[in-house]
Amino acid sequence: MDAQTLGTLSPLRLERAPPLLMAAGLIVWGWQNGLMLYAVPMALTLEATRWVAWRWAVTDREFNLVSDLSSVIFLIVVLYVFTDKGAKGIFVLLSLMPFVFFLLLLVQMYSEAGRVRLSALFISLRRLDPRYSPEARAEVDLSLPYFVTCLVSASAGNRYEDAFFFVVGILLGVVLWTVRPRRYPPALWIGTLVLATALGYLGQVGLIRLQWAVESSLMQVFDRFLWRYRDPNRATTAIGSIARIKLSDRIVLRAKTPQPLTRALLLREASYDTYSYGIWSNRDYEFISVDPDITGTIYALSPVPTRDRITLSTYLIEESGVVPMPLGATRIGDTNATAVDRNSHGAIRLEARKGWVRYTAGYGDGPDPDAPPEERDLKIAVSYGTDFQRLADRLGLDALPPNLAVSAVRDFFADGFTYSLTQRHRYPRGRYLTEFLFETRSGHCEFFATATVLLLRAGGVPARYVVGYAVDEYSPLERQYVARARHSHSWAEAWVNGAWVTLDTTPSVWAPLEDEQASAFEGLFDLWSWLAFNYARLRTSDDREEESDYGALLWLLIPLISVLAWRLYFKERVARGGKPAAAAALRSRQGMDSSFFAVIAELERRGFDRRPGETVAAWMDRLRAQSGIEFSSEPLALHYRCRFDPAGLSVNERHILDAEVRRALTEFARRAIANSLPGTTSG
Amino acid sequence: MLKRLLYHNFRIVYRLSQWTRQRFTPAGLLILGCVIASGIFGVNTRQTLAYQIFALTAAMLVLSLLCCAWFRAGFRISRRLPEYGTVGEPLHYRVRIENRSRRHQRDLCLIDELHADFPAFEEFRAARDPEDRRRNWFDRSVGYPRLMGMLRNRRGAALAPLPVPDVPALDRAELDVNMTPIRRGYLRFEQARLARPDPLGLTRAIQTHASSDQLLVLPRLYRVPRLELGGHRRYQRGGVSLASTVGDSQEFISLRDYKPGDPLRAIHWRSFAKLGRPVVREFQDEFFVRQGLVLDTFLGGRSTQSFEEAVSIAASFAASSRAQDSLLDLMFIGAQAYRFTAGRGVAYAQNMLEILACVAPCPGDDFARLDQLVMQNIAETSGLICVFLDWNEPRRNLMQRMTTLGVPACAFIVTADPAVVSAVEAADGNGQRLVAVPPAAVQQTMDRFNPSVGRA
Repeated sequence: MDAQTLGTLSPLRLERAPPLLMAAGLIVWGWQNGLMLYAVPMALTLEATRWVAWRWAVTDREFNLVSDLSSVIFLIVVLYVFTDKGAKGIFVLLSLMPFVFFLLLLVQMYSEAGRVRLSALFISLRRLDPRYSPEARAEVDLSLPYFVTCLVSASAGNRYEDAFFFVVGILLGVVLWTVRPRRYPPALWIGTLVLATALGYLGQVGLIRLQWAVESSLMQVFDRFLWRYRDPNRATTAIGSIARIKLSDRIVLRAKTPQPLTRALLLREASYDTYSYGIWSNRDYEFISVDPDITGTIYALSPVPTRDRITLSTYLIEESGVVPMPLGATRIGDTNATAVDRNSHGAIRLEARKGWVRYTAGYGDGPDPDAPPEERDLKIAVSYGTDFQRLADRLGLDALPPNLAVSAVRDFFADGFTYSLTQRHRYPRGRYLTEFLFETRSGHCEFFATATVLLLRAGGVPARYVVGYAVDEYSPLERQYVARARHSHSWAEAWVNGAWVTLDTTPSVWAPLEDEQASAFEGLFDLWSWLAFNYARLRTSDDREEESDYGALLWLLIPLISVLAWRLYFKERVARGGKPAAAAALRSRQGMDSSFFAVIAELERRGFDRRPGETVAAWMDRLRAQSGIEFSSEPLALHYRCRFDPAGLSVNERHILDAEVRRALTEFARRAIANSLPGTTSG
Repeated sequence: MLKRLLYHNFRIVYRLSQWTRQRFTPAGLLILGCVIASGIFGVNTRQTLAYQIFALTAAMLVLSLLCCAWFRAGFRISRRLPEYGTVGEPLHYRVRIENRSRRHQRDLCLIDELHADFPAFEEFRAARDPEDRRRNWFDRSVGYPRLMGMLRNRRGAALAPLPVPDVPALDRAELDVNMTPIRRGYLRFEQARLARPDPLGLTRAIQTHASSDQLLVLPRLYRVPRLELGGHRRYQRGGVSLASTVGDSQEFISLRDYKPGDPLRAIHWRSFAKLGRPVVREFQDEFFVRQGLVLDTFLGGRSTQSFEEAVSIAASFAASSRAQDSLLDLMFIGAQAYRFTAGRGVAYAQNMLEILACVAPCPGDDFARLDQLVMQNIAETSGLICVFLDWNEPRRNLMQRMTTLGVPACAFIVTADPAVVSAVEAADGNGQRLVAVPPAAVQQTMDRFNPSVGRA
């Protein structure tokens, strides 16, 4: 046996990228980020080294200088991007990386050495003695790392989602082909690569689903256990979140009104003017202090006379925070806050001790004194502009005066759009609104509010996105209204005839649907919340409310808690006794498929508001008395049976109910009731 | 506490790093980097498409690692090492790989390994690295590069993975391995690894072969001037026989009567028979030059680099001595007091270099032991070359005594301390030859050194 001998071998190291690979990486980067104008000349310059023979004699010191220059460019880009974009700048920075390191690679490619010393890249290695630190004289070829940088930077563009995976797969396949071991047949290599690509494809789908699941779980956990903090300059929506949105039952707001509410009360927290991929934001608008009156207890917000007032309690997680205020707020009084600030977009910030803060808000019929619209209130991001402009043209919004444009937008969303907390499909991030408008026509309030704002802007009407709460749940226990986390709501504001007008296009069935999410333990949580609330007020010696006797209340808690505990125990025993839990859930949803809901929805759309707590029968009677609308009692009776009769309706009765509903809807249309009645702004 | 925590983390990071370097090919490391970068930027699947790159590259790596779960072909690995190496001098050795399987083996990779014990926490804490002054504040404070330096030094040389030529079935192949020792002493090879790539060429399946060898690395040698110390020849008990064979001198002078204590083999049997009383042969006493080479091993908190340079200087003088004219006694303190003699056939410079290759520093500063060793042998010593690590009272006293006794002496003080250098330069010339040698400029100092004057 003759021993085969190879001469002294050089250690294994990363070789130069195969021909045209760097160019391909740069082209993919330009394609994804819309920077093809730069990518093509950069690619040509780099690949030209294959055909251009001349090289520079670059010394180590010159390599160090070029590397330092690249580092300085990188730092400048970092500073600029983060100053301009904030935390989001990290992705902008990512997309610019091929620019940053291009010079260094260019010098390497056109140098006689053709490689760069590691010490050029790491200043800490430059001073080391190569005798003791061999890494100080190690060399590296940057072409393949640069190619990988181009691919990762390309991902920041986030376009062409479906094609990107396969393009990356092909390019990485080219790299692997050049380094493939010759001991295996090509068929095995191809088979392994195809298997890896298939696994990778499944993996990326799995990652998307994993993120949905984690986000959904975390959202519930945060929502349940942590208080919300309203950032007046940034609101992240759930547009783009997949699966069912579920918010907690936690009571986050308490409202005491002199008279019962006749409709849902909208409380505004903040409004925003800039939208990008699921996030509404503002420039960092400055908060200006509101001076109290001579008594030091009243803070005037508007010169409009106060028509009504409402006492609100909300929780501050810091020593200052934005609080909900009724629309048309005129003043704040009776508060333990030490200062009141406001910004030009109508956000009111209180400075007070952390915890529950109470204040009385007066409001009137005048508009909110928010700053008039700016150019930003008409701006639509490029990625949505075409779709919304097309729709605005179709609706003829440009030709309409603002008030009619607002009505047209309201009518557009009232026709065929449904409320849904579930998003089932995934799209590229810029397509969710388009799908909502033209395909699914189903979404939650953030979809409606965002689409409304952008559609109004496309029609030339300045508009803003508003977040806050819709309050209409009365708590007999607390003898005041409460708003839960799931009652958070969003709507639009449009600039009509010199004032901001509220426009809520979310179908009014959103509240009952949200209420369906109520936990079985909601009562217990509410009781606990109320006790904690009162305990907090007791600690802060907030005893201005004369009707409360907290000392006695605490003693009363003992039997109350005992009774509740007994009831819960009893309930559990019954459940164990054979009644499946699903039956209770089924009962609560029974009759939700009644076609009579279409009549209710149509009436609400036409502006006939249903008061809080008002039964459907009482509502019908009131409408008959006030508006002269005649209803047959038969469909209503069938609807009640459908909802509450354990036996439900027979098939024949269902047909009768459906026919009656169709007849009623036809009758509404014929009488053109809508033309003579105002729209509603309640959500 | 923090230091200990860092130490344990470094241990984990080091092992992970070793595993990564061995398991991944250069292309695999590139893909691994891609996995990490895209994993960081792809956390939010709505923000970027980096998650797609992450999923694809991670799938490639996972599949590659799975393909490397087994590697069963039979091999035998053996090395042919040179007898010696020298610090800083590249050396080659040959590795033979025998393929005992019936498959033609291609694209194999050899990962030969030098053994190094991971430093204990106490060693890590007490370690001082001359490279630290070149490092930045963070690296100095945290200490990871220092720990890596310790490991590199213990290992003795860096060995990168090497491609193995094709090995036909039931045949063998050989390859040359280059390495440059960075420390003296024995370098221990304990195992060699043979790696086979996966079909995608990203990771390696590894087969470990126990293959113990060791290689002695001699100290670094400098060009040193010939020192003419100018001492007298001294009477050497036992004469030149001591230097060549066991026994007395061969220069016959006369016969004399036996005196108790004379060796039996000195009896002249013929005269004994003729005279009837024991008569012994008397030989000429020997006088020749016998120089002492004193190596100061007392580190006492001083730089290990200074010590290494001191050993190199001593080795350089030992290698350049005229072995046929004189004897050279190497004296130093290790676990005990040592005195090795070379020259005139007793031993060769090579033997002395082997000894110097294994000299270890003494932790304290008990210079009196070395002083005592020198004084015990001063009667036979014609001249003294001292290599010191400091210039303080005990060392000054030794040199002073040499002057008093008329033994010419020259001392090389290896130090980077400017104060010590000044003190040495001030003391030089008072009947003593003193040379301050900065550890970073040994050769330059030796080149400038004028043996007749003594100044560098």
